Amino acid sequence: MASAGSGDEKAAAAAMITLISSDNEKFEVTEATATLSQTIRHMIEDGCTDGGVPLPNVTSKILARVIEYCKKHATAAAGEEGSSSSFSDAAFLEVDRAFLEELEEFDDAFLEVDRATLFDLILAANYLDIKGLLNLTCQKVADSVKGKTPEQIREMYNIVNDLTPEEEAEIRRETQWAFE
Amino acid sequence: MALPPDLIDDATTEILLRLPPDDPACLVRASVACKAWRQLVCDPAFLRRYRAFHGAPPLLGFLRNIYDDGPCAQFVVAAAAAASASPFSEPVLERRNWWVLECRHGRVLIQSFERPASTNLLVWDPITGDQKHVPEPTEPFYYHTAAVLCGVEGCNHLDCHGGPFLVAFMGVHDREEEEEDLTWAGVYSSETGAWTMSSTIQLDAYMEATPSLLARDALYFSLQEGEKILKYDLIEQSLQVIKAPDMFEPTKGIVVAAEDGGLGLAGLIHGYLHLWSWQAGPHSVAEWVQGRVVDLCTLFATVDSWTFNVIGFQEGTDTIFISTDVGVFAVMPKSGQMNKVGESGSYCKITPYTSFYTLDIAKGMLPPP
Repeated sequence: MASAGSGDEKAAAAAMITLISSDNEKFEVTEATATLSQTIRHMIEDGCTDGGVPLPNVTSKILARVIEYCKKHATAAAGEEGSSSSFSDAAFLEVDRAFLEELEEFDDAFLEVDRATLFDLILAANYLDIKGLLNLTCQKVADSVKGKTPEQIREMYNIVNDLTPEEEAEIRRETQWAFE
Repeated sequence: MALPPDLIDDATTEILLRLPPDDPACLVRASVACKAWRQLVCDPAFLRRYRAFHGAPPLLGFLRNIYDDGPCAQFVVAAAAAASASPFSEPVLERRNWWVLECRHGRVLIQSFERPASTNLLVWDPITGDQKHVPEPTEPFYYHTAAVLCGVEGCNHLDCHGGPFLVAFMGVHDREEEEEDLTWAGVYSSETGAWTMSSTIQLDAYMEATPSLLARDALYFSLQEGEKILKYDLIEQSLQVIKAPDMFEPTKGIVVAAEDGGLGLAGLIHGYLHLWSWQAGPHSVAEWVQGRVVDLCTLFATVDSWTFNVIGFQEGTDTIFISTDVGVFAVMPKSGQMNKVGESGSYCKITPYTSFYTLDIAKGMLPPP
């Protein structure tokens, strides 16, 4: 009995990972949450997570948001696995649909951040290789670029126009239709 | 807030990848933001990723024929592309003395009535403007129809503009001494510049020059207003005639891909869109199986059902085009969704034009095949 209990404890303890932000803050997360990041998944597989995973490119402010996203979506992934192994009866489908709606609402609320945070989230998602988060944040930026003129794009993203006036004029001439 | 320098690399790629391909002006305008974005949007590796990311090429418009003092082909820009700026100078691009047979893999097959002309068949790329003349086959015919397709085996058709192509030609030959007409098939290869006559079949049917369906290495052509279907197997180079389900005889069904990717048929009966698929039966005898039925009267609640017409199908999707007196709509039976793609007008059949419009294709800067 006692050995079984300590075994469970051990498994639970082993399933926790410590992530360390660039400003040295420590975050305890479950392995299921952490492995939404392919980068961390590989580190776990290589057995190099003892003593915590330093993430020198991610601040504590951004890491907290990333973890919030991963926690929510790790639960969703676990739910999907659960439902696919069971019979697809109407009740399960109803639960799935409700959960997906909740997830969508979560994602929409998650994106309600200023532009600087959005960019930091993109960089973190890219560095940590979290597919869903990268897709969500990049699509948000792409949607905001969609109907904009080059001037508006530059202004929104503080891009310095380093094309010479001649170069820019040539491009615009070649593809005049896109600027009408 | 300054743009982090790293965002210029991986993350910028990720953002620009997600610009919508059915509104090609987005990517072009982004390319004028700065040198780095310019380089990225013109980088062949990025453009390959962009096309792969979006998968199927988007609907840029559709082609139709009108008869106004003579034959005339029209390119109508699809609503999504027209909402922003479109690379096709006008919402409607007209070409007199051209008759559109169909389009596929970024190419349009045209029957030209321009004089003087060495040949009446030509393959037109509306994006690059390239026109390739195809000599007419020497076999005699008095009815005909034809199809165009990419000639590269194993191609994903995401950017096969400018590459080799095939034209499959079906001709009906009136043999006065025989009871039944003879239908023959020939295939032209742009690589060899020659026709290969491949198969004949006895067939007594009127053949319309309407868009074909390419499904599982076979082309399907509608005969006698959808009463019969002519199958040309591209691998076996053989011809076969398939009779449409009885209920479709007077209703002008069109060939569409079935949900399993094989031959299907779509037709209207009293405001309902009926879908059928041609499937192997119990004794490996193929038969028609009734599929979905979509109630168009519910979908278009305020439109008179007698104005409905099934006018086209977009390969690689389940999209069926329906013309009504309030416009042309793309209907997706699986999801039950629909959206308006064009204004109302007289439509017989349309052929949707799908392609990516990226700068490399537009400027003809194609990588060597």
